[in-house]
Amino acid sequence: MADNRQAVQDIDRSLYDFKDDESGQEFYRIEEGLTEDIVLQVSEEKNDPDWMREFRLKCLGIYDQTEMVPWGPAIDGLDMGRIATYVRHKGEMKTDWADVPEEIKNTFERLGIPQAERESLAGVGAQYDSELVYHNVREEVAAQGVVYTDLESAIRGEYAEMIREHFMHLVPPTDHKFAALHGAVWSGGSFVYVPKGVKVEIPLQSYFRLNAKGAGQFEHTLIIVDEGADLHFIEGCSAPKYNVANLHAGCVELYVAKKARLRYSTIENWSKNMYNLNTKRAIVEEDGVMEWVSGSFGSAVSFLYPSTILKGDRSRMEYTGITFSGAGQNLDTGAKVVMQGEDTSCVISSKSIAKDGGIGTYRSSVIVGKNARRAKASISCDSLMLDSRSRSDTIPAMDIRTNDADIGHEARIGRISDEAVFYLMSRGIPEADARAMIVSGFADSVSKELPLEYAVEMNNLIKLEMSGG
Amino acid sequence: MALLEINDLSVAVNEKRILQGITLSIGEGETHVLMGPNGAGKSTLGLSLMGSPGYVRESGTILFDGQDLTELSADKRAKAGIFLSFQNPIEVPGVSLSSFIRNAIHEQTGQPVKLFSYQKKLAAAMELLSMDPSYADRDLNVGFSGGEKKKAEILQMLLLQPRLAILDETDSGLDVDAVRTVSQGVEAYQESRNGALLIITHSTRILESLHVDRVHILVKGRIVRTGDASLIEEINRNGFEQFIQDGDR
Amino acid sequence: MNAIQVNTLPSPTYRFLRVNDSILEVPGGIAPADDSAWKGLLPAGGLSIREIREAETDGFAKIAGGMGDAADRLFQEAGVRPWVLGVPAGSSGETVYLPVKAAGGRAQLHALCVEAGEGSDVTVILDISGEEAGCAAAKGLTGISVRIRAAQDAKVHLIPVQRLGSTIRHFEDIGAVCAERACVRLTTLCLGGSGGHLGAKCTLAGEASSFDSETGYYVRGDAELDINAVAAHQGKQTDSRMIFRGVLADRAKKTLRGTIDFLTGSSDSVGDEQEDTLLLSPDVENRSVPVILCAEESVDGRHGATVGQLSEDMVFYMCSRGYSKEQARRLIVQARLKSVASRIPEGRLRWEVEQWIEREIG
Repeated sequence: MADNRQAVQDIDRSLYDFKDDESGQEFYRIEEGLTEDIVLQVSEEKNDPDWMREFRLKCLGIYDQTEMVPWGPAIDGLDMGRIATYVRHKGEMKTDWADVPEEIKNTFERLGIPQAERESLAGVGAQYDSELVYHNVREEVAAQGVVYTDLESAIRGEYAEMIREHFMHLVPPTDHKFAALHGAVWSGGSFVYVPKGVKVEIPLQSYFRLNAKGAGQFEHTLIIVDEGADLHFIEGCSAPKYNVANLHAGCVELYVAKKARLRYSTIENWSKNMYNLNTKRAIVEEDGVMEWVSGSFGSAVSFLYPSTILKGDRSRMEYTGITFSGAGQNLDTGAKVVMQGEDTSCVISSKSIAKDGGIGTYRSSVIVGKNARRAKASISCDSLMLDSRSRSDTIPAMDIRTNDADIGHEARIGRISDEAVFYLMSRGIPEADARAMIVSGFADSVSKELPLEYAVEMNNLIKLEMSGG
Repeated sequence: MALLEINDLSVAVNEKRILQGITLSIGEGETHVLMGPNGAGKSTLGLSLMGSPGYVRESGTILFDGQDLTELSADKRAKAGIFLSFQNPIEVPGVSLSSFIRNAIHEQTGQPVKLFSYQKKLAAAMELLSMDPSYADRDLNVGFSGGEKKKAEILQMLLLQPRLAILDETDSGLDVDAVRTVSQGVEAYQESRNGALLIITHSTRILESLHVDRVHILVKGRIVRTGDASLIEEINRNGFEQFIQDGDR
Repeated sequence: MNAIQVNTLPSPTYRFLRVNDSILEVPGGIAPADDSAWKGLLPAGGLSIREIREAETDGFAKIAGGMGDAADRLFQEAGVRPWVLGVPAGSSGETVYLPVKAAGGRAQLHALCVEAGEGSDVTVILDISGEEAGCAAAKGLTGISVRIRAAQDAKVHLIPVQRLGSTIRHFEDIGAVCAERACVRLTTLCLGGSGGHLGAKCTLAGEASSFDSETGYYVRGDAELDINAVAAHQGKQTDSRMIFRGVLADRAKKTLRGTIDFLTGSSDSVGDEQEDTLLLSPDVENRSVPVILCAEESVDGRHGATVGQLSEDMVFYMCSRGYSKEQARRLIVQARLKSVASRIPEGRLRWEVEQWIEREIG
């Protein structure tokens, strides 16, 4: 009881500015940043096995010692104190609907999101009834032997060993500062295991598991697709997700076994106060195929580079992505690939749009190892500038250590052609709609790869962005 | 009152005057032809009527159905019933031919377009123009040959049903069969809509099977002669030589 | 030895790639070279070569070079006083030939400033050569700095041709600034040496100015080549074109950073960067970072890179015309570099370079 009251006091104080206390009492000071205490508390709430608790503490240590990278958008607006509090009190920390920014509410309105869903997305109130849909999907695929469950409970279940072998081995906490942070405070997320030879017909969606408590900010997704299996997983949704604690430091680890195929699609539209530092990595064995489809529309700041290790011979990767940077946004996205096996290939196709002072950066890395004989890579990035207040930078890099490789790269930057706008207008389409159409057309290569309802959502998002909504 | 009334129109492009004192009127359902040597300014007239940015009206007026077009943007002019078949249609990647036209109809009529009946109309028009049905799903003009692009323009005209269609060098780049097919399309438009036509051309092939009301000859930005369909025969026989001399006078 | 940081990427990226910059090892005793012989080499036409005047130093120092501040400081601290080539306004078509001889085992710095008057037209060839015997090589370093100021409508063509012995290190730091409608052409041939740094930056300040650069390189043995090229578009309607054609053999290493930077205000500008690199052996290391930075809507920027082996199609085509595979391969590789060399004005040097290419390559 006493603990709870103390906890509530903490929340209150963290949400408002400190004012002079006329009664002369001592203030309770919130510790800045993360402490061992907080991490241990999280661990206890999660009922972690010992190894996970030890792991979290190790990650905290690494986090404290690691510097932020000297490139990319600035992260000054990140308030670690608030985040620490959020981590500790996630369960009780609800936003009041009245506090949700107007802009967010408007977007819900314009995207036609049902009211109950809105509250869930805004971190307000009760669970979203997508829980029901989630359960139904689970049952359907369980019949095929597919495991689709939340990661926290899976750690203690029959797959505990499998998880322990894989958890943060692909993305070690030493990878970068926010990988370490993630390792220390991760919570929530999915575990998916697809057995040998199983083709999962329907896409699994992380959206089913969205609820007020988790809000997905430190989610860990671990997907293992066994030999010859096939899965499409969709993360995120087009509706903006809002939270006062503005960091998303998630982690996605994907294991694609021999001859297996995994398609991982993301539409991300975090609210525009968010810092999106999500790390996604896949490792692909012989004859395996990894496909990334990515639409980034939200966040104030993004560092997002889905990366793939083409370990097995004849493994392949395809990345199709679009990033839309509007006012107040600095989105730094791209892809990374390491080609290790023989006869590997990858195709990276990225599009980027910048408007209203937004900053969009495409950043990539293609590394071809000494033994990656007959490696083939084709990279193309196209950027559209919609005005002169914005910025669009393209910074690709290739490091090739063998001569038996065929690497091609091309990039273009330009503006919406006046002729194209006039042409559309001459058919009766008003100017703003004409521009939106051209931008949608520009994004077509990405929306083609998404399931229909996501493609429609994405196009709606583009229309919204283009109309200045 | 004529459908289109152009009065003493002068137009400059890149600060250079291209059209001088053009006066021309086209009545409902009439077919006019604008001919002239290359560089006369024919396309300029078409693009000015459509309201292309960069084409500056220096003097004169353009009235469409009694309404002054000057302040109207291109999309408003389209809604008013003007259509331009471009000489070099732009490629619009990511937008399919079918959905583009459907969207345009929606914009112009303000009414949602019923999918099924639209698709039937689209298929019928494509067949009339001997266009492969697969083009409906292809990105607008992307990778289309010159001839296919022109057909796609006429296809749009048939489905948008404008009151005045301006065809800018529609027959250039088309083989004999294609010209015939396009002519059929143009005839179908005339019949179904009683649409007015301004056909801009420097060759007479497309005119062979059409009924023409008036012919205007444009040389160095001025209309040097206006007459009836017999002018076409004269051009065929003697070319533009004498009119160029007229223009210099 | 002092290590200085050069060829810094205008916008840094992932550190693990280690492409953000490069280290140049400079021997302690590095000193200005004696290029007074240049004075006597001028053609007619009113051109002059003289020592730099105090009042001019700042002006030229403000022109940014491709290798960066640390390289500038190196020259200052070593007490280098650049020679100034003055090209009078309106003078046209002169070619200035300046030899740069690497001295055995020594570390030397050469510096040239080109002041091209309005409407002038000049070609400046830097013939960089020298053999090195024995193992005194490690201490040998030849550094060249060139700064060009092109006034309105001026045309300057700078042609550094490097044919050093395989044990000599060298670096070239070039900076240029263009006024309205001025054009700077750069033709760089990097054919020998044990390792080098090339830095070139052209600031297109004046409206409708342009930068046209072609670089041909052949790196072999254990040599390492590090390049940083930047086209900074400031003025409207400016144009840049940077082409890199190269061949890597044996255990060669090469890093190429090419940046097209569209600054706000450079509307209607066009930038094009192309890289074409041939890898002849399995032990080479190739790194490419083609960058476009853009803060202006109305521009057209593009870059392309192809890295790999000889096109089998091309070899087959030549064989079908009677060439043996070997001949075909040799010709294709040489053609790459000869296409850059064809920008050297006809004359002895061009002939020598073509001979060198035919003899040494493939």
